[in-house]
Amino acid sequence: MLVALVFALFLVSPPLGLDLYRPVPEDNPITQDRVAVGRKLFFDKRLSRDRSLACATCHDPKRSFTDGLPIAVGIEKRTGTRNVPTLVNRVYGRVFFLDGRAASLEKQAIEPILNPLEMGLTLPEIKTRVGLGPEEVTRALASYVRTIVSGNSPYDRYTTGDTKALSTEAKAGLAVFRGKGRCTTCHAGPNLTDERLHNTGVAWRNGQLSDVGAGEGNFKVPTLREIARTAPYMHDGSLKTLEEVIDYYDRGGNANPNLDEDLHPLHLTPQEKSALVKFLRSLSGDVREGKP
Amino acid sequence: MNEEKQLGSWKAIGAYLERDARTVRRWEKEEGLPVHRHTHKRGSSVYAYPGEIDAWRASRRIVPEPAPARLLWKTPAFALTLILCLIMVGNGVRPVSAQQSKMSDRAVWTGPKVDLFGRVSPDGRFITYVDWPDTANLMVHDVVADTDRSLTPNFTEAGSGQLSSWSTISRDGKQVAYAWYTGYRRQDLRIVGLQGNGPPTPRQVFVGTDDMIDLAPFDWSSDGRWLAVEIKRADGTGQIALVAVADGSLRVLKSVGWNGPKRIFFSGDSKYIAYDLTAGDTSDQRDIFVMAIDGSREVAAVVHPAQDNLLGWSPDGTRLLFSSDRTGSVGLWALPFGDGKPQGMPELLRPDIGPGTSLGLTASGALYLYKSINTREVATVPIDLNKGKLSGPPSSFVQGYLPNAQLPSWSADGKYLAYSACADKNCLAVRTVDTGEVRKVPHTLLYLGASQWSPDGRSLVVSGRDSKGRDGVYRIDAQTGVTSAVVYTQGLGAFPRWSVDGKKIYYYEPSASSLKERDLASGAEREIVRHPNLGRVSAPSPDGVYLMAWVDPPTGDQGLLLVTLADGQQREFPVKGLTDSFAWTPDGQAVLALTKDGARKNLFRVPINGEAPQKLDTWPDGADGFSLSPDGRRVAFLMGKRGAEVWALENFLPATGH
Repeated sequence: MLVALVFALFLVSPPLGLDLYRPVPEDNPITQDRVAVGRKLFFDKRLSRDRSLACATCHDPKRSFTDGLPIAVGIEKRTGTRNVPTLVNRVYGRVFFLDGRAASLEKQAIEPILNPLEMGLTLPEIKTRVGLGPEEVTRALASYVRTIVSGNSPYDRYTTGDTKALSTEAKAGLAVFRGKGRCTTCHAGPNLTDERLHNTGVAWRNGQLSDVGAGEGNFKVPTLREIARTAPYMHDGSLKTLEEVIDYYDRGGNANPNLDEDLHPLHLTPQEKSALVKFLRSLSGDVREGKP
Repeated sequence: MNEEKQLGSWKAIGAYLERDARTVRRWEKEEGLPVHRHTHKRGSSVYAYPGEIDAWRASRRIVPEPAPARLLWKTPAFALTLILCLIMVGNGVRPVSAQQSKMSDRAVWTGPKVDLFGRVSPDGRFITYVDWPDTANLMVHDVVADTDRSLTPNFTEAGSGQLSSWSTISRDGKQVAYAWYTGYRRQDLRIVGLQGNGPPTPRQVFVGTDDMIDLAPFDWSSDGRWLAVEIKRADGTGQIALVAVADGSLRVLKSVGWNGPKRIFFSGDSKYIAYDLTAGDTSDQRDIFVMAIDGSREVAAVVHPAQDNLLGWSPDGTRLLFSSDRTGSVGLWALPFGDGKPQGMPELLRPDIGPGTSLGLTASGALYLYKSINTREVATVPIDLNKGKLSGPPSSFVQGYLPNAQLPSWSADGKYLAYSACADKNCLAVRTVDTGEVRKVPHTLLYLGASQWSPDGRSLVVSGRDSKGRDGVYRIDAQTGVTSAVVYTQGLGAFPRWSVDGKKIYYYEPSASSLKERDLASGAEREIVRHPNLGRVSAPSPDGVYLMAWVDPPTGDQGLLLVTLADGQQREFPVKGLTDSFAWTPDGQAVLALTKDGARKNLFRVPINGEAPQKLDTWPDGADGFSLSPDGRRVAFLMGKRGAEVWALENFLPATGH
């Protein structure tokens, strides 16, 4: 009986490359029903003041749960201040938002709904619009977001033994990623992020911070899963392509008083940069959502 | 459960030991003979396992009379413990005393072969280990017969590229799972029978990928279907995983930082695994967690600011055992556990077991602990290089004893010695030679190798690992301890050395087999020479023209390699029995080198003009390595004991139903 149960649980294993264990709060376990409700809410435009936007408007599943814009656009075309981050593999996250200000998806999910620059509702309106209280909404949305996962990429197949899953150039890029590029200092683990806050200098403009982020220009390290499908890049969407991102880090970031000590010029060759891009493209895999 | 046939009475136990019942009762009371009790409504009955008795009998040969003075805990520690107990009692913290009168600690294995890569068998008779000094084969030590047997094919480590590593014995005591390396990032998990006299036939159950730099099987599930393993990935990630014994399929349960678990143990029913993890990516403090093997939930079982290390589970699965220094000394603790979660607060079972690493528990609940012994400290002795003789007795420093010392580096003015030491964690100490005064340098590295003073005496350069798990060459300010990376390397063993002018660092990049020069101001690098078998590297010659490196070829004798820094020209000097201790003479015309001839060590002078090496003196008994002062008048070396023991702790668990 126990063996059968264990076997059955293993059958709902995550995509290749991801951990079986998912850190889910004990008071909000993932259930089929709650995920279904969350999925419905995720696409429900009633959660925006003018009924023009749903969560999925900015977190578009077709774009690996981003919107392709430099800066988020909310109701009445109001513009935010930051780029829309992907939602893939947030089930493994430790902190949420680009400045890491939310400690859980439950705490994160409510803010865009209430933010006047995004969906612009009030707490009482949530219940009126969808018939569920704010807490039920956030618990359901968090549960659904926890089912959005990306894995089984060529990189995952390569690291699990399929030596042909990466091209020769992508393998060279992986060597740069882990070696000369020192990318794994921050982008490590199955989700390719340390979930920590760093100052990479992107917010440093004209001798001052254009956005303090979590303070002193620190922003959370994003996952690199689906990175080729989630342009533009950085917290402000200021870099359009992966090539621009690599050039930015190759020159050591924007010097500023709080620049992370691990950033310094890399002196990558054109071949190494090209290989690195090829490797980053291998991080696009199968995106799955809605399955508990 | 221990499936061994029980001896069910005092008479049966006595018959097994060929003594009368009265004698074995006395042995139980006075010498820790392992006897168990079934508690009945009225009174109790005794029973014992032959395997445990055999192990106890064998241990008596090592520690014939386990009287208090011979216990593991030395007198000062005992006194401290006593005081601590009194304090704890005053604070309401009491060691569980249910069976303290019958507790016993025994050294069951002592010697140079003892390591922490293996596991004790359920009956306590066997311990697996790696034959590191000779063949790197997987071995099994028979505690009773005091014999050793190879479980993997015989070969010599040198040249073969094959070696065994972590191993663990199945719950039925019949199989051993172990990691087997066939080359750089080529490893697999294998299983071999533990019993039998014929040649063992290993079975490969899991093949690692080149993304895996280390595999460590830590435990078998009780039904023998799963292995709990730790995997270290090339990006520095550690992973807690299960490998199915039947088909080798891998289930990664959880990814963690580079500083992954030290131990993983299945619970008695194998529904859960327990493991210890650091409190954060940059912390060395460990806590203990329990996860359902289907990955459905994780419980933080022991979270405390102290250092908590997992030891295992009680045989009945009701207690999670761990060591903790939360009271000031390392004690043995038990956390009641059931229904997948803690069932109360941790209980202190033993207040002072000292630092140690678990090799597992036997079926009867004896805990086997690996304990490192390293009392080595730095001593100095005058030397007369004209006569080629040591010119006085070794003298130890009388204050600030620092065990676990590594060879020191002399400052350029000869006034200070810098070396890493300390039993708990690598600390960097600076000792004033004349006064013996010790000052600890508060660096931020987790590990560090031997250091070298900068020519201006302001800083030290070391090969080490930082709190993010990055290996490299680091510069440490000798006064403030401020630590900065000079260059990151793929692995430890860079042997960084200052140039004579202090503007460059020479270091060895192990992954590329490359000896490099790095300009500190510009960061520019130059490969001096590429050589696959370099070991320790000397400081440059006094004139800054040469480096001398230790060469350890796959076949043949070790030797010295003279490298011209300007153009990388090389010249080899074979030296029979060469150790990795050598240093330039102040005139730069020769290298002093320590050789080993059996148990004896000799000091040789190896001229760089090609003349034959010349024996100077015999090294003092018990002295190891050497470091020559800049003026060539004194040498520093290490004196003391280094080794390891396995101890069995028994009868510490509270009676059932506690």
